[in-house]
Amino acid sequence: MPYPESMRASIKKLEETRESRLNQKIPILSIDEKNQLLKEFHPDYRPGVHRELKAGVNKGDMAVVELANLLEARSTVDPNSVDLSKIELEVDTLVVGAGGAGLTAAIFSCDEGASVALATKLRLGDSNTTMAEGGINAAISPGDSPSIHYLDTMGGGNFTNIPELVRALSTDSPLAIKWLEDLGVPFDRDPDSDLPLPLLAGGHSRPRVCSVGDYTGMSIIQVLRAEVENRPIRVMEFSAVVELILDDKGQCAGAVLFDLLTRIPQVVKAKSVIIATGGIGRLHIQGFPTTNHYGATADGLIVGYRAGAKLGYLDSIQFHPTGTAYPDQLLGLLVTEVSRSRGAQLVDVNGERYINELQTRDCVASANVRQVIGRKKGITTPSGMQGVWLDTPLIDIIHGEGTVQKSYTHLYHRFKRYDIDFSKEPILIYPAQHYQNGGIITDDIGRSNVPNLYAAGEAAGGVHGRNRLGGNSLSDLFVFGRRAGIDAARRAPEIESGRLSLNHVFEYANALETAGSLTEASSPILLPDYRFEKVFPKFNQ
Amino acid sequence: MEALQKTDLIPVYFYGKRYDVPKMLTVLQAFEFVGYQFIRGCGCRGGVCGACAAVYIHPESHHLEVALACQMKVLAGMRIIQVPYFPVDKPGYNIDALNPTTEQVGQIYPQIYRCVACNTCTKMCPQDINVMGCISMILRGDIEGAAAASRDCVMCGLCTSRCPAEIPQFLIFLLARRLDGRFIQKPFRFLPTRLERIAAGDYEAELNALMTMDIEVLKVRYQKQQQDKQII
Repeated sequence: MPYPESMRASIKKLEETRESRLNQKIPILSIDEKNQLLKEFHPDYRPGVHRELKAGVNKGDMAVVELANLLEARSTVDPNSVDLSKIELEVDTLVVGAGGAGLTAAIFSCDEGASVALATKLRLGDSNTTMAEGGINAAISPGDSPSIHYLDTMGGGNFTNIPELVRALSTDSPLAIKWLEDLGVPFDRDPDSDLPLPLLAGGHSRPRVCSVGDYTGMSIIQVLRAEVENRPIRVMEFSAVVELILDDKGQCAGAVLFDLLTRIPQVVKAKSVIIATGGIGRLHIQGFPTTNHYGATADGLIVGYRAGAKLGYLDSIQFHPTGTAYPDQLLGLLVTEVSRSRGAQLVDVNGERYINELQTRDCVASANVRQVIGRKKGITTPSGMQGVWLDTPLIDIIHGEGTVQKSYTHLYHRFKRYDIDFSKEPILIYPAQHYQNGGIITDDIGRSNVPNLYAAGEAAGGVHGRNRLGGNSLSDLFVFGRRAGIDAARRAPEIESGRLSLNHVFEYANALETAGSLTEASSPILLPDYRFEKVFPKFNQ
Repeated sequence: MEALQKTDLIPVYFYGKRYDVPKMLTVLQAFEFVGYQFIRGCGCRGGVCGACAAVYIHPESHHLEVALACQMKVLAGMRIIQVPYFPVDKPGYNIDALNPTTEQVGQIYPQIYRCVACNTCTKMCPQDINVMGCISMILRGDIEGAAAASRDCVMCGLCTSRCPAEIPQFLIFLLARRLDGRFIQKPFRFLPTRLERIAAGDYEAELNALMTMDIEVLKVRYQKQQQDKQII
């Protein structure tokens, strides 16, 4: 599906201005200018997109409506139907979710001597991590340091991050790279220096993105999946968490899993549970397309909240500036930030730039929205979606012919199938839901406020504040997955679980009913529903 | 896509059963359009996880073709099934104790020596990897070459499903990529030094200072750091 005639006129303008744009410098916005831009155009600031939670630990806090409705829903599996005396499996550590954080937590907990079960709703490794293109951050060049990484991350999050978590992230991520390197993850190296490629990602003041082409997440997941399979870890695929189990001392003591294939609930007793269930993109916040995988439905947040875990930043969503806007079949496909690091520019219908492309994602995404909605300078597709151009041919112009094909093999093939060669033509993009900044609040070893309940990765909140820097999510997974996994294993011998109970589920439902806030939905939803006409993408902008 | 015309519908056969679906949909979306809600056979929906691997034939050809269902648009008259899982043996290994050699790979996956060079695996790859070529490279001792040439592998397992020698090509390639990453490519040069300095507590004072700094001072410092971005 090459670009139709109606879009070609604008491509011609873009080509005409290309040379004059090559050396055009656009200054970085000051903090105040940026905050003004966010307020006016970031989707988080739209009226009516949040609502107040009426019960539970976060009573009174605002949350995105789609999540709030599920947090205040009935249980998907009737807790009365679960027989807690019939224990399917008993382990030291139960890890829920098998993306980057879950695999890491399971491996480290096992190596530390714990018996480990790893439950996942889909297959081992199915996750947003697999889809991560750009890379993983670590301050491993001489001109960089953990403190520079710390400050970039804090500023990227508008100083709303939890400082202790950012400190853990910036000091542990070099360790994560060493671990992955030793496991044989084939990272790209700059051949001249044997350092990460000399590229700056948005909001980073030093090059620190370790990549494997545009397949970084997939490469890492493939390796970690093999490492889990090399260990005596009980893997439970197609087993979704539908409830956490507490004991009579109020400690977390296991989970109710639901086998999606047999539709039978299973009780797993565990001394600790690590929630690593990832993101919420498939709730389609505000109707936006998402870059997330099929299973990203906030399950861990919902069961965690019913069990009394404190959540945070629930009104803060990351919209990636460059989700694909054309063709419809690729709607929401992530176009890696590294494309901008290599010089791809954002250009409107008239062929003009409007923002420094290497600012933080919240800022660049807002600028894209401003250009399309505020200034009406977007490009419209035949289906009515609007977007702006990412001038990707600049990459080959700057770095030499063949760079696009070599560095973005995944994306290149995806667009080629629709007859778009983005080394020669630009890509039409628009912000897409990418990441939930919020989640279960933990300390710097992943412990939540509920004893023996941990969270790691995207399901946890706080380390990124209200905006995550590109590449920091992969660092987050390994840093906190490792810390949580090890801590759970070390504490296992001293933990005595009491009598298992689902009373908290009934109590929370009663509290919702009293508050008049119990919704029609049931949750966790486990799988998104794209049946029948719901398969057609929506173009909420 | 809202204005769906009857004329836009084409017949497809899912597991042999005919459905009429809009022609602009991907195979995955078409399954959903007729009422499937996937448990197996759907993962990232973005062409990297290999969950939605599919085999089909087209009326104009008698050849078996392959695709990732999330990546391919439906074709009129196609007969298609998904192959979301294929059984393979997964021998364990400890990466630390291996060498990047043909013999090593052959020790873990002895099936590799049974390759009859039929090239069916290559024809079965939805990622257009030269699968048999990679197997040959490994047999010739070129682990690095096989690692590079198999980088697009999403480990869907379709190659293995039709291999007469029962070779788990996708697992062998993962091993090749790991051996290459671990033993052949040079490690990050400065990483050991950075780790030593972190362990020695060299950054503690700076981090403590940043963590206790007045927020306005911190903001000024951040702004300066952003303006002095440098590639060093």
